[in-house]
Amino acid sequence: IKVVISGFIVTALAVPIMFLMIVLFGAQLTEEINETLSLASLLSVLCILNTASVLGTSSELWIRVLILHRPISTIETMVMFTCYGSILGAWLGAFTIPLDWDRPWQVWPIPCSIGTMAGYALGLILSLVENKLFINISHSYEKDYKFA
Amino acid sequence: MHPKWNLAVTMIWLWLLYLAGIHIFTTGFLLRRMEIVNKSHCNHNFQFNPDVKDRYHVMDNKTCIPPQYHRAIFIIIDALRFDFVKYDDTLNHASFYKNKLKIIHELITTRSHQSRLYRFMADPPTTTMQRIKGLTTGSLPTFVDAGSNFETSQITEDNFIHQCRKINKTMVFMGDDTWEGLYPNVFNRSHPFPSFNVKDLHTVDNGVLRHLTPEMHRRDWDVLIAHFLGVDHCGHTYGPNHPEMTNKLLQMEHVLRKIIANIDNDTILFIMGDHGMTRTGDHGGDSDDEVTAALFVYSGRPITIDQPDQEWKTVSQVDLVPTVSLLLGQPIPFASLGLVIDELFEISNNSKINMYHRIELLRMNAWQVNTYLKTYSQLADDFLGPVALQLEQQYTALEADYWNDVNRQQAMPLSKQQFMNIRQGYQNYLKNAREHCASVWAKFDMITIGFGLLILIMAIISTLIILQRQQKLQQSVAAKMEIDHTINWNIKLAYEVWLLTLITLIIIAYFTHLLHVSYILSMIIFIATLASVIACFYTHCQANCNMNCILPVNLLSSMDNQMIIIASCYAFHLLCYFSNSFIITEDSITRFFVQTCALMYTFKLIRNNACSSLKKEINLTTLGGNCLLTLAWMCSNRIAPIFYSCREEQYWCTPSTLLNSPAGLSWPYKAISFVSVLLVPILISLTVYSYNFNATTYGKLLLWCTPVCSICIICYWLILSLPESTLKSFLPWQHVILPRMVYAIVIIILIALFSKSTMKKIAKISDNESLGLTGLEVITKLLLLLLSFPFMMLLGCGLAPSILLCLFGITCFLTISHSSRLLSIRSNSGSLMSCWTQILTWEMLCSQSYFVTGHQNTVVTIRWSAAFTGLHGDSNSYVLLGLLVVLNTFTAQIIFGLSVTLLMPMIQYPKLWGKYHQHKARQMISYNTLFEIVIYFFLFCGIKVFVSALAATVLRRHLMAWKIFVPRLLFEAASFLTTSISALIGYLIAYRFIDISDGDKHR
Repeated sequence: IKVVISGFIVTALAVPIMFLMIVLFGAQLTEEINETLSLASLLSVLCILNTASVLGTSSELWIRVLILHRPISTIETMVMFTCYGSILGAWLGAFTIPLDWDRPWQVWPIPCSIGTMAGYALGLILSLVENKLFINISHSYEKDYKFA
Repeated sequence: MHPKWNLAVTMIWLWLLYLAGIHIFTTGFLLRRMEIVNKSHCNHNFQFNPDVKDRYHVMDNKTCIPPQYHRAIFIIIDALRFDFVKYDDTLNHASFYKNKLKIIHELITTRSHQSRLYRFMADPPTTTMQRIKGLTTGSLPTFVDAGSNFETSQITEDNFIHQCRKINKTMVFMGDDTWEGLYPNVFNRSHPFPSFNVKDLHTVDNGVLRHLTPEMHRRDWDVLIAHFLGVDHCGHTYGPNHPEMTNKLLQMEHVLRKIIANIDNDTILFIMGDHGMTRTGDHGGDSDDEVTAALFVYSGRPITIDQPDQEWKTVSQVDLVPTVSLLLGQPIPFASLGLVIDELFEISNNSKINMYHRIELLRMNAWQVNTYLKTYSQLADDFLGPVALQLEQQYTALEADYWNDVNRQQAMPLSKQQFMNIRQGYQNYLKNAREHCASVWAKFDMITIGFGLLILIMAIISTLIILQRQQKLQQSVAAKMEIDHTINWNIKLAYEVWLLTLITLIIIAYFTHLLHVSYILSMIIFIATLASVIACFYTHCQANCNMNCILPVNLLSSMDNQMIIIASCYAFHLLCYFSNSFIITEDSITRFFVQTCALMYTFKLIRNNACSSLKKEINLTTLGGNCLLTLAWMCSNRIAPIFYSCREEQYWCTPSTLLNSPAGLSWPYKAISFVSVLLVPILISLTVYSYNFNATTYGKLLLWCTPVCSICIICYWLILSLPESTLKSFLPWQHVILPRMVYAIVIIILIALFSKSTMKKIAKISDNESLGLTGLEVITKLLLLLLSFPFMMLLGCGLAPSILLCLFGITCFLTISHSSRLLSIRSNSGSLMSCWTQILTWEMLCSQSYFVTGHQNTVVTIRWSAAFTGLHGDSNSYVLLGLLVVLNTFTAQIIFGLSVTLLMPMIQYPKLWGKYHQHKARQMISYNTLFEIVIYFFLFCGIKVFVSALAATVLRRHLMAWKIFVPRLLFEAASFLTTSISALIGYLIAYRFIDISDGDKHR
């Protein structure tokens, strides 16, 4: 329970950071704040909440899983994939905004939200596949790390 | 030959490959129309209807049909949009430009038989020279012509002016000097005035007015042309919604009243605009506002007994030429494609005779167009062939029908209905002919386009091959410490093949007298390029025996996640060229990508730090500092859109006020610009002090002269922000003295910087370890800072801080990416290979900075006003004026191109040299790395050019092709040119520096 509570706190702290990032990437600062905030909270919930619940507040764990990509357990793999999946999804979702199709779903921030959730789902599926196929991810990333 | 020259030759060869590709592609894509020099005559084979011809009593050998008027006045008010003239009864709010020319409304309502008002549709491009060509020759322009607006060349096609000249009409001209360029020594009396200075609203108009009144009273002329420019210049400088526009229009109204009072029965007056203007006052494109001008016709006696229509009729601009020619009894110019406005013709009070007369006119018109098309399709291979044949059939059928109808009975048998049908038939034919011609001349030469694309692709592949070779060279150097001198010789061979083939072919072509056809020239270049590329491939394959070396295998194998994301940003950017909505929003998209890159580099930095933290050597303060730096960089990118200018298509965009002249800026903002200008000398002196050469002569020169530059710029802006009336009282030299001082100081300092002694001194400050590369960094920094003076001045007061933003971005990017690489090098074996993702990011930063300096990829947003900083608008050196505009437009490209050498990895980590003990090896490596960086930069810019060319080809029939894709391509090609030239200059500077510092050490 303690871990979950701290997870909620971390998520709440992540919202303003996400908001800042979204604004830096081009969202309006003064208009449509509610929309941007909702996207920021969605991103925080999908990226940070379960990550924080799994990894707790230990910075070493966070660095190992999210930055060095070396998850040990199945659940850590899942956390890593969903976190990156949702951020990537939001990033990709933004690509549809400038298109002149005039669809109702092209209104800010719907494409990004959809992208986030799709990315999250894809991350879940991918992590399942990874775990199912028994590919040793930590091994494959070790090679990667050498090049970096 | 020294191997370093091999590198230079190779680079120039590659550069020429790209240029050849671009040249061939554009000649195929932007087709020219062939100009036929034939002239029309009266003694032609045209068969009049004998009934009508009998009534033409006064036929002398000068005229083809009886002239309706003997004198004509053309008043051209540049950029007179239709709604400036049209009277709006419902107007209930004050407007700066509506209902100002009341005289025209008065004439239309009170003397409706004497006057006619038309919507006058110009053909794009709506630039003044193109329009004058259209107004006098009646021919259609092609896209290429648009570029030649500022280098007016004589008109060789048949035209109205020459027809007048032939029958010794006295012609008087006053106004825009573009006319004098197109028709030199044709007018009996000519009063041209310089047209380029758009800030000068009054010189041309006052000059015209000074001559107009006396000329009106002299009455010895037959044709009078007066071209006013004030309205157009007012549009360019202030836009239509400005009190100045009201003043200008009221002045025009005053002029028109005077002229109209003096019109007699034998004179016809045309008042017209050559094009319109957009809501921002510019023109050049094909939007409705730009093409809809006004044409007003007035005569002292009733023109026609017909009642005017309620709605304003629409006529095309080329229609003026046949109409005027026939009104004055002259033959229609040979290449005219216009349709005569027949309602202006009347020879008697009998409406039936008039109808016959009008049909005759239409027939003459159709006959002339038919002759032209026939001649054209004979001369220009079967370029217009099938279309011309089809049109000729249509013409023959019409003539046959007409003679059938006429010969049925004697003496004017046709009913009104039949007349209408015949008239409709001829009009349709003429309209058809024009549309067909327009569509044919917009046709593309697919073979040449294909060749151009092929060469571009081959240039890209050759670059990859050479890079591959470089990699091998690096490896061999690292492994054996030996340098393989032969490795580049075959590229030189390719270059020699290229030159030889080119020269031989040109000589052959010269002796066979084929060179005047542009098509042949591009074929020669193509064959030569092809031969050299084949030579390159051949030797390469001989050396390696397998083709898969061409593929960038090594590049791809060493990618990590961050690199993939950065590369995909570039790939997405390339895909953007295929979608109009992405091109429209390209400014935001590049920003988005740059932000992504910034995040990626920071992420990599954190990751590398985390890696080294495992080895217990973490430095948290530098990490935190770098993260804060990224944040600052991203924030600076985020606020950059205040400098963006708007495309026409960006309906959500409000034009930035910062693009205005200093007078339109608020004082707090001016203060910011002034501070940013003052920051540059401070930065320079910081550099000077930190590298301890403040004691040298050059250091002193820098310390004393640069603040003078800043003060000059600030004073110049202060002068510009004075009210208009005070500004006018300044003498011309007072306007230009300050900018010229800045240019002079900067040029002197730059020459001093590149002198041998200064370079030696700077070389001394860097330690032995780095082969003087720290000095190279200092030189590049100083170069950038010094150049930012003229750039800031050219961009103007509002945009000056954007240069600082660009420089800040460069600094942040270099710091972050280098420190992350440093970590990875420390933890790994580390290679000297220039990192291609860095150069890729450099390219993306460059394209983002283009938008930050307030530009867009459209012709309308080019800021011509930059040409007046330090030069008189009426100065004749178009080269200098053009250079200033180019410097203004491609500021970002020049900055990033010149400083591309900053990406040399050795500059940042001199310790890397430790591995290379031999002096010779070090020198070789530094030359090669420099070469590699520039080649990579060429590669990434070249790929962009190729993709935009491909997009333009694929989407050439797209609705937006000429509005979005083709300008994008042209800007991409132009930016490739400026980027590559400045990168070459940067390369040469680095080259010279290494040479000098090297020679110093030997002694």
